[in-house]
Amino acid sequence: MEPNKIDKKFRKSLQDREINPKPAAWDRLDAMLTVAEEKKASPTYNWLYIAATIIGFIAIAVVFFSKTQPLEDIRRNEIVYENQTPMHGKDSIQDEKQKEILAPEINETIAESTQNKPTQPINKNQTNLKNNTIERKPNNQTQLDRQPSNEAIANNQTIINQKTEQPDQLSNPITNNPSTTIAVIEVNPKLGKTPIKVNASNLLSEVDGELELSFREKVINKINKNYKTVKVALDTRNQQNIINQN
Amino acid sequence: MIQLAVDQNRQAQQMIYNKFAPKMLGVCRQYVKDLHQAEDLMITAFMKVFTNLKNFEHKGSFEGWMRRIMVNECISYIRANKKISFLEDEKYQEESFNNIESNFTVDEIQFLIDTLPEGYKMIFNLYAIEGYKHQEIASLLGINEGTSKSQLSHARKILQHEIIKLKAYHNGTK
Repeated sequence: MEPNKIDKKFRKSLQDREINPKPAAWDRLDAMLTVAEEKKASPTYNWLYIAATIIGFIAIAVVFFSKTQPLEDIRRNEIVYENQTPMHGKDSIQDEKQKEILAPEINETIAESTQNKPTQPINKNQTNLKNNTIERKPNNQTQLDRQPSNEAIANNQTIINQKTEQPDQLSNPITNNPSTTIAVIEVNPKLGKTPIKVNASNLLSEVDGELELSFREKVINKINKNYKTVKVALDTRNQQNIINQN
Repeated sequence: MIQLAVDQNRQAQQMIYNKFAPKMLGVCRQYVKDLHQAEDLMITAFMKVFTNLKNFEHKGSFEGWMRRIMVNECISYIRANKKISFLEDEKYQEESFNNIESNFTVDEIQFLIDTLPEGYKMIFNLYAIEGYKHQEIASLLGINEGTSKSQLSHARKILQHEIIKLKAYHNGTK
């Protein structure tokens, strides 16, 4: 099919035809070219942003996974068992008596220690420690049960003594007078198995730790599960291929 | 000047635009009836010309290279926005229209081309005006070579009919 006369006529008249565009057309093209040049100039920054975000995610992941391990240790160490005061008959009366006996002694010692010690924060620590011993004492049945707490108090006191360098002024009547501890034990000999009460703040921290652990475990389990499904699918596919080939 | 335009010299780019824009708008107008739309397509095609200027190998004429970009832009637009169906009709007749002698103006010729359906118009423009071969048209539009030939034949028939009508109008018989 050759170009005929009409084609030639049409070509001659249309090929060199000119239509003047609007003057605003160049302005539009100029704006488009400017935008394109700006876009070309900026891709290096895009890579920087991408790299920064990746590094940020890695840092967050590292912090997240490294944080979970120490939390577990802290949780285990911080569990404090408080003994519940019994509510039955003579036992409760005996407990009240016991508190009455112990309270003045401890208050006196606190007063003495606060007078003697020049540093305020150490005094507070000491009083707290003593209060803890008050909570523990009435419920322990044997001296063997009591020994760890007393040892802990003794250890804490030695630490305080080292810090303040005033060993003579820090005198604890509970640890220094073993007779009182024995007396306390004798006051409350008929206590049965006492229910254990957990400190609320420690319990909360424990639950938080468990939640974090469970999330981590969930993620690991999900990854394992997906990996296993993919592995099984691949195995079945390979087996089918082998069967088909045979 | 082309080298300056490659280096994104805006003055050189504007000089190229001022020189070729009227002709290129004429090319776009062949394919698109709406002049505003044709201008938009020309601007988009010029954008492509300037961004791909470094790929111009100086083998053919610069105007021819620009013209091909304009044509491709127009065809892409038509295919994306207008429904075109090329009938797989490979039967065509070699017809001679050489007996038609007339002196039509450019506007009249454009009017005659505008009467063609989009598919016929594209193939007639590509073959008769731009000088593409049927093989090139077939690969450009994704059709058979025979389909291109038959579409051209149909386009010529319609044009012949329209030319007769226009001549009759000129002679005052209609």
